[in-house]
Amino acid sequence: MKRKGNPITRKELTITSRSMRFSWGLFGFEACLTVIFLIAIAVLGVENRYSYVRSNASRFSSFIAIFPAVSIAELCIVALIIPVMTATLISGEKERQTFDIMLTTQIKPMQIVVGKMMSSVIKVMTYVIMSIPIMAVGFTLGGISWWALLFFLVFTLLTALLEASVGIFCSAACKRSITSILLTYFIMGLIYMGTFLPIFITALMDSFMTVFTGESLAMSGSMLALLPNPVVLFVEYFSLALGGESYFVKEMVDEGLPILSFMGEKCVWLIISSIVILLLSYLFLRLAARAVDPLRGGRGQASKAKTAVNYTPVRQEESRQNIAGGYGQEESRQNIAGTYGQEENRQYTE
Amino acid sequence: MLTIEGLYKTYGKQMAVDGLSLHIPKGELFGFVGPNGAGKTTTIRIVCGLLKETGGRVLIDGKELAKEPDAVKRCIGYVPDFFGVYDNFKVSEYMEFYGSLYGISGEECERLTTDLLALVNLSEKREEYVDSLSRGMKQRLCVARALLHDPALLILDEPSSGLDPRARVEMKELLMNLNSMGKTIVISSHILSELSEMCTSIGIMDHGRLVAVGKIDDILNGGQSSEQTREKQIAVLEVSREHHEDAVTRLRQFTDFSIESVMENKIEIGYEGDEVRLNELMMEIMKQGVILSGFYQKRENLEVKFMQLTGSGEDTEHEA
Ligand SMILES: Nc1ncnc2c1ncn2[C@@H]1O[C@H](COP(=O)(O)OP(=O)(O)OP(=O)(O)O)[C@@H](O)[C@H]1O
Ligand SMILES: [Mg+2]
Repeated sequence: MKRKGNPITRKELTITSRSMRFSWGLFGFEACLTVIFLIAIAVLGVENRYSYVRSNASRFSSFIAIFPAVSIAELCIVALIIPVMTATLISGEKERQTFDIMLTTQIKPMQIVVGKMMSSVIKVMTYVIMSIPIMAVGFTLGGISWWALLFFLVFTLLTALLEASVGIFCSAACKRSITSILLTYFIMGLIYMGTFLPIFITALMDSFMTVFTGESLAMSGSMLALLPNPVVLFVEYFSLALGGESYFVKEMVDEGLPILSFMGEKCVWLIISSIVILLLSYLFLRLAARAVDPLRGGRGQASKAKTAVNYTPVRQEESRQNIAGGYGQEESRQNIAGTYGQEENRQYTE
Repeated sequence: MLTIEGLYKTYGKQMAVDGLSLHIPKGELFGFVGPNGAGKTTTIRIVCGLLKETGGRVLIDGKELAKEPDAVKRCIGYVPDFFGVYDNFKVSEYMEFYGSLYGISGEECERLTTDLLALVNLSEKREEYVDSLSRGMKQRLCVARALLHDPALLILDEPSSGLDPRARVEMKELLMNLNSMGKTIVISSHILSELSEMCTSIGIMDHGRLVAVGKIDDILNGGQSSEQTREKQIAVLEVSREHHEDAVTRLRQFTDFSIESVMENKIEIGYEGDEVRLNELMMEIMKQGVILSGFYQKRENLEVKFMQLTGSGEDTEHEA
């Protein structure tokens, strides 16, 4: 029986499946979602009670809002736990030197990195898939197609891929897991929020322009910066799934952006954004593979310099002691030599 | 087998390996000795492709590490000085995992695992968790792992650190056994006498430089064998407790040698001469009615030599 797949993913999953942490994590994850689900229902119930129109139809259609509420909560949890999951994946193995052993085998750094990434994506997707029953209530009540659910899973997978790739990169680049977690949050923060910066600047300039010249600026160019942003991907997806209108594509087509106008389809943003996110994940994986490859100048000069600070004094201390004990004084030298020889002799004659 | 040419490695300003050149022929059991910080680990890590050299070349079987890293890695089995294992992982899975990293899987891997575990004496631990093994067992498991892809060269960094005497002897036997099976083995250690018992040749390293290399006897004699016999030698006499006091008083009457130290059941004497002289002395001593349970010449020369060779860099260290 020849087993296929990345051996590292397989190893990680074997180890994970034996630890209680994974089960408790799963339990916690589903418990959180259930609580959010119940809160959402309660809020909707209160709203319905005080609304003027009290037909059954409107009562049910408002349940549609459960779906985005629960899925956004789910995404937030995914975004928070992946950095924690991935933080120790590389740095932990480096600590035990199992990473060195791995590097002396035939496996390529890229395979190691991809294997690690896949294992955490599979873990997170298990959480997400386990929560489908909770989401399904929102579906059956709100009347959303099953296709929408499938796409939700695909986009969650993409987000998880990006998060995990960034997380692996940080784990490879940082020595300590806490810095790795923080760096992952920081980079993801840049992707989630920093990508709005071009729009913000354009909007600012637009306001000045309208005041001074009366012309208005096209916004759609700076919107392209939002393509790698999974949050925007989900906003677009929800607006399509719930209302059937595409916010971003419409805006761009209206402004006549050439690349997009010929594709004037509804889901073009979703497709392009997915591709951009995939490419970005790949880029981070490549960077991670580079960072762990010792022969390509990897392992970071910076981190090496840092270890030198911690490392050298200890070593020197050690060798000083050795010198003092070993050959500092004439008589003690003989003694040490004597006991050494004896001890060794005794051990081997046993 | 392994050729190192003018290897340099610096960490920032610090020189860890300083122009090391070395050739180890096939079938050797080569020992790398040196005090802490001599650069043994650094050299070994460079040879295994885990560290980028600052200058110089490493060739294994005529293949250059920098040019064909994959081919070179296939020839090397590496056992690091310190290593951890995964929790929640069984011995058989451990072997299977590393097997799959070498592209060995299925039945072949099963067969290799069985053979190798038998070789390192861990057959009955096959289904136990790796983290439940003792340190010596982990070390042997790591050796078995390093042999999975049948490398021609086995490199071990301080294989006996942290092992008890019995485990050391077992490790030594394992290595000598592997060597007799045709593997070239390189091991590093702080302790010269330990290596001298198993290695076919040794290299003594200090401050990143090789200060001596060759067969043990050559290093010891170093062309000064006549001088050596004039040096004071130490012999250890083993005396049982009830005869101890009597032996000491009797030995004090001799003028051919001096009593160096008296321990609970051992007496060390210093004399001049070679082994024949020692035997003569022993005859004399026994004739005088001293009851000995044994005697041997202390192999302190190795350590003294080691101290002399590695002590030379002491001054440069203080300057640095
Ligand atoms: N990662 C590192 N960063 C900076 N300096 C280092 C690093 N690793 C080793 N060194 C320095 O390189 C020199 C050689 O170290 P190395 O670990 O090779 O010695 P060693 O012979 O293996 O010693 P030991 O017997 O203690 O294992 C030491 O002076 C050490 O301070
Ligand atoms: Mg070392």
